[in-house]
Amino acid sequence: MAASVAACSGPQRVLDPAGPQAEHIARLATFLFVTAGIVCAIVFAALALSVQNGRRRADRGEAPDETPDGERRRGRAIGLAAAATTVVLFVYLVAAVRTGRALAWTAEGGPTERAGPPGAPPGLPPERGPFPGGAPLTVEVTGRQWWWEMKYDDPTPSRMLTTANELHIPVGRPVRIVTQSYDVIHSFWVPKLHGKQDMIPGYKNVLWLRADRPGVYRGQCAEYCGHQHAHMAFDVIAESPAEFARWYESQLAPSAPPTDSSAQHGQTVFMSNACIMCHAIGGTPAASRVGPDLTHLASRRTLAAGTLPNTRGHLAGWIVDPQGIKPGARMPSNQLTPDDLNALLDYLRSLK
Amino acid sequence: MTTPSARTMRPVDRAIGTALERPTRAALDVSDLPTVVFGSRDLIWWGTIGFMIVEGITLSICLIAYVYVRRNFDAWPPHGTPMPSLVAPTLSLAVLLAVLIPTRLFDRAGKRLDEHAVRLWLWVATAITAVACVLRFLEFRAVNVRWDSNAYGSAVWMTLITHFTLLIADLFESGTLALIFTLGRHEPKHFVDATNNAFYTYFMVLVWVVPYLIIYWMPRWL
Amino acid sequence: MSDEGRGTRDEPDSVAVLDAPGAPPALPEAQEETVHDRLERVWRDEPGFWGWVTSVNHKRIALRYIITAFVFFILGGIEAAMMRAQLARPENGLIGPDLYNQLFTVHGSTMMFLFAVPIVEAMGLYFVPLMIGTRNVAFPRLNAYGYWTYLIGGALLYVALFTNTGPDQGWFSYVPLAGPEYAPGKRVDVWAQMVTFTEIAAIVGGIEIIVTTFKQRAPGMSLNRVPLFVWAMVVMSFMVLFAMPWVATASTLFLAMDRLIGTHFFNVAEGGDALLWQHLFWFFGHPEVYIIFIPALGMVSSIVATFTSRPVFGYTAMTLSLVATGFLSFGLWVHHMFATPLPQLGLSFFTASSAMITLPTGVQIFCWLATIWAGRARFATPLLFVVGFVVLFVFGGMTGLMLAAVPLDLQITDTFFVPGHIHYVLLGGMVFPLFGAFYYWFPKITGRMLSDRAGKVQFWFLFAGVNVAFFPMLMLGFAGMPRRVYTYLPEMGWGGLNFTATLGAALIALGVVIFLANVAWALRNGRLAGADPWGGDTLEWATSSPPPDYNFAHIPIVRGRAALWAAGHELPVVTGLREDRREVLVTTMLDAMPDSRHEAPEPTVGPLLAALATGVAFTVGIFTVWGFFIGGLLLYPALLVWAWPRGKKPREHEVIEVPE
Repeated sequence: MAASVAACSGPQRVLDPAGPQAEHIARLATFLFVTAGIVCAIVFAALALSVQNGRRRADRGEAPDETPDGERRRGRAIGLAAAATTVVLFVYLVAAVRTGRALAWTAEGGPTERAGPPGAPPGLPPERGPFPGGAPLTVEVTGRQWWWEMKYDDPTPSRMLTTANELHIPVGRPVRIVTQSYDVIHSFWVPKLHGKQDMIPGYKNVLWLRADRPGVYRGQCAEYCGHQHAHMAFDVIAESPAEFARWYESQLAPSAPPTDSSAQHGQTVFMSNACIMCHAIGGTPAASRVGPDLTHLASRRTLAAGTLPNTRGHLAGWIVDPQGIKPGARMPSNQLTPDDLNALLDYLRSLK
Repeated sequence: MTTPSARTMRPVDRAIGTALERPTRAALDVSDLPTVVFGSRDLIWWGTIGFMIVEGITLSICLIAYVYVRRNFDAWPPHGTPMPSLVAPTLSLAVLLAVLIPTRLFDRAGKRLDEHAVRLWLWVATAITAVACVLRFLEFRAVNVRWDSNAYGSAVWMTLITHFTLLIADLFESGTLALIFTLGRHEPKHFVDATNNAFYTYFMVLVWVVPYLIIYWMPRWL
Repeated sequence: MSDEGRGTRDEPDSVAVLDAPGAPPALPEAQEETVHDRLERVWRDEPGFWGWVTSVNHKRIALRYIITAFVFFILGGIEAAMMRAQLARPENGLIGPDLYNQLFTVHGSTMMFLFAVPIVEAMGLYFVPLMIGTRNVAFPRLNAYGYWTYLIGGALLYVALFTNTGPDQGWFSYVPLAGPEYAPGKRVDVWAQMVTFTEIAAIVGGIEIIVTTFKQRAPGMSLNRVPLFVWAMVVMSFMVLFAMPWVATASTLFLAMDRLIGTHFFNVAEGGDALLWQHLFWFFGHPEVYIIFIPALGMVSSIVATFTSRPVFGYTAMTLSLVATGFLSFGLWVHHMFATPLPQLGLSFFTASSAMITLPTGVQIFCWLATIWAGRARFATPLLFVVGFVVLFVFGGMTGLMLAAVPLDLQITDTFFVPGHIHYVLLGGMVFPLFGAFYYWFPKITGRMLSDRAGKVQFWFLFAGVNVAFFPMLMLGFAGMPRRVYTYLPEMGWGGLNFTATLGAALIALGVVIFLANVAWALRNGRLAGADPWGGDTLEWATSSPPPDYNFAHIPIVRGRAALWAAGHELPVVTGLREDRREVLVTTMLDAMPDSRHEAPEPTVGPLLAALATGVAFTVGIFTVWGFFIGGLLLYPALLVWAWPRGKKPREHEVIEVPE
């Protein structure tokens, strides 16, 4: 019971919109609930009356009514019911299409943005305006088994930002999410902000959203993508434009070199173990893009794509035994001595 | 679990069972109706239509895949893949069309109950169909692409393979019928079977025309 | 013999009655006995195991289908129970991801391919020949072949599951996840070929029903006198012919070949396309659910007519609605793809078509309500299930409309809202009518009545269970829970709803157990049914329960839509079919005028051999492409056993009519 109530305040509740897209959809949902309720009530009432009438005839031992008059009356009633049904369906269609249109400025990139034929460079249609809330922010999100790569677009190439599993956006500004997939079909879904868009290899799919109030909005992969589909989530953190700018600048900076000896040792551990094979840390030789970028790992709320809170203990558990937490994940177990592990943790926890 | 039949029920149950069937009144005698009939009066003709629908749709799906994946390429056939040759495929189509002639002949012979003509033209049709099969083998080479080269090659091969199974089925059907007539094992209903086989052969041949045009001519024209 | 459950139509107790003057003389009783014996000798199967294996009796084969499909229903239910047990609590450690992924895949595949389509088709294979007044289906040997093929397909899937090779990419197996790169091993290949086997069986059944209905109806049963159940089965059969090839081609020719021999249909790097799979699959997948649903509509019509003692209102509207539903169902498939990068402009068309299909089904429901209103309604278990069906299906349909609205779909698709919706419409829309039909027709099949009281108890368990299990899932969709997840975090707040859903699943399971107990009890102790315990209007009630191997001693003649009610005290019948060989009457398509006498094939082991050859082709074909060649080579001799003329003595009295 308490859990159901919790569901009413759950982090992925569809009916708790934080932006215009989710707002429009929530309104449509409410309208359809009411309509469906009325239709069901009418049909069930008709069913109950028919049952009652038929039963009464049986109890009284009367013959069934097959008189021409009776059949004509019934025919008319059914015709009326069919006409009423048609009206209801039409109203429904209008509501659905209108809501779709209301989302339309948010789906400018709607027609398939193809990645192009093999070998051809990917092309995206030009952005169009005017956009409510100012110029849009573009983020390319790539779904990978089982994490999210986020790449912020910027006219200045040196100001493009690559991060993982956490999306910061400024409140009140439209965000253009360009989704794609590195491997299999995933789906980008942040219920409190918008519906989902599937991330299909070979295609780019565009999704517009805007957060109208600050908060943390959880997203989760919504297309079965293999073993750890259940543990492929991410956070969208909507913050004031000033806070967002601060965050962006700090993320752009390369990692600060470790100051204390333990962290320095930890960096050595990182560079001389399997870690460097998959993870990049800006400002160091580690530049692999196989796994999530760890340059600012300590600034994130969660680990392992929304699976664990980002604490020292959980990080330790994840490094040593990822298969125990996310069986099938691409990260191998790492056997480290306690000293090495502690040093590594010191280093990683310093990557703010 | 066996359905209890009238024979295996207990005597008391059987008495109840048969006693509770409705009383009947003979009202129509059909003993003078024929037992062997042709065309849509025959059940197998309808079954043949069923197979045509299913196989025709399957072939169409291969062509749909062919057209669909074309959108992923800016050259067609794709860069690096030669145009399919015309000689062997056209020859193959010609031989297929040629099968229609003996087929039409044994079709008409069957409807006349002409045993000798049916036998003769069935063998001729079988022989020409066999030649068509050989030419189809050559056609796989003539498309100048492997099934695993790219999506274009996959779609072309799958269309060819799908139709090839129809061709082989027809070969075995005609051949077996020819054998039945030659060994003198035929019954009156086999004349109808021959005409149904002809019906299927018309389909098998004519349904290849559109795929032929799409695979060999469309890349040249469009 | 109590009168409970009987209609008002009188039950005469003598067999032969003398006629009015001028009519051909009725057959005296002694001769009537001999007719049964002669027909029995000609139409029966060989005794023992050999007879079982070579049978071409449509009732025997249909019953095999029904029992086998019900076994798969139970297996699928066990898989569901295991999943519900795992999801009852957050971060439950009962079942890991690998097994869970196999479970949801095999559950969906079992229910859709091995239970739902085969069982409704089998109800048709059993009852259509009886209802139209003939002795067997049009192609008895092909019918046998269909069953064996289906059995092999089902066995393949379960042998794979029990050897940890169960498919695990979902019952619709999206690529590239199901392709060679991301799904190594043979799991998906097992799925693809299982689909092939069941598709072959479904198509075979479809051809049977269409041709039998078109060409073997009893004289006088013109198309506008065909029972609504038969119309439903014919519409469904056409849909099968047009829909099944899409999934078979996509799975066997494209996906399996991508995995086996390196074709590139779905390989993006070589010009293939991941969306191509979705289009092909859903073009089949949407009609598939209507293939499952439409026969249930036919069952409802049969039940409503009998238990209100009047014909269903609006025959023309009902048949047109069935046909319209069948057609329209082919125009909805994109509503499974609203979240993909398809051009947005076209999507609303599919919202409109999805809405439009509500109309014919609505008309059917209105007509049934009118029938019940105007009828004399006896609420035996079958009619109770019909009432449950209306409630659950209408509600489920509303949730369908929510999914069909593109903007809302973008939120709730791929969440638990979808399993919530589909189970309301599949359990409510098909399984409820099916149980109603079981209670209705069990007496005909076995000669005994099921317990009506137990039936009503079962109904309430199922009705409560469906609501308790699946309403929370609708809520979970709105709470943001995606589908196909083997676990979830406690802080999401989904635990309570999941636990409730698991309780509902337990209620459903109990309902099914009650049914099985009822069947077991009734087979031994059920009241003897006689030919017509309910006072039905269709021809299956004119013969004994169970029907003899030859269905009717004499083919009935039909004088009106409700064949038995129009016939009155005596049934006019046809004479002149031979009793020394298997003969069925073939009639014209539109008006069912007698046209010819057709010799029906005798039992043979050929169909089983052909099914085994097919089995070799598509099972060995999982591992090597040479499997298809080997299977093909084995198929030819099997077909010879099937069809080679047996060389009986020359046929006397063969009457040949050549075309003009």
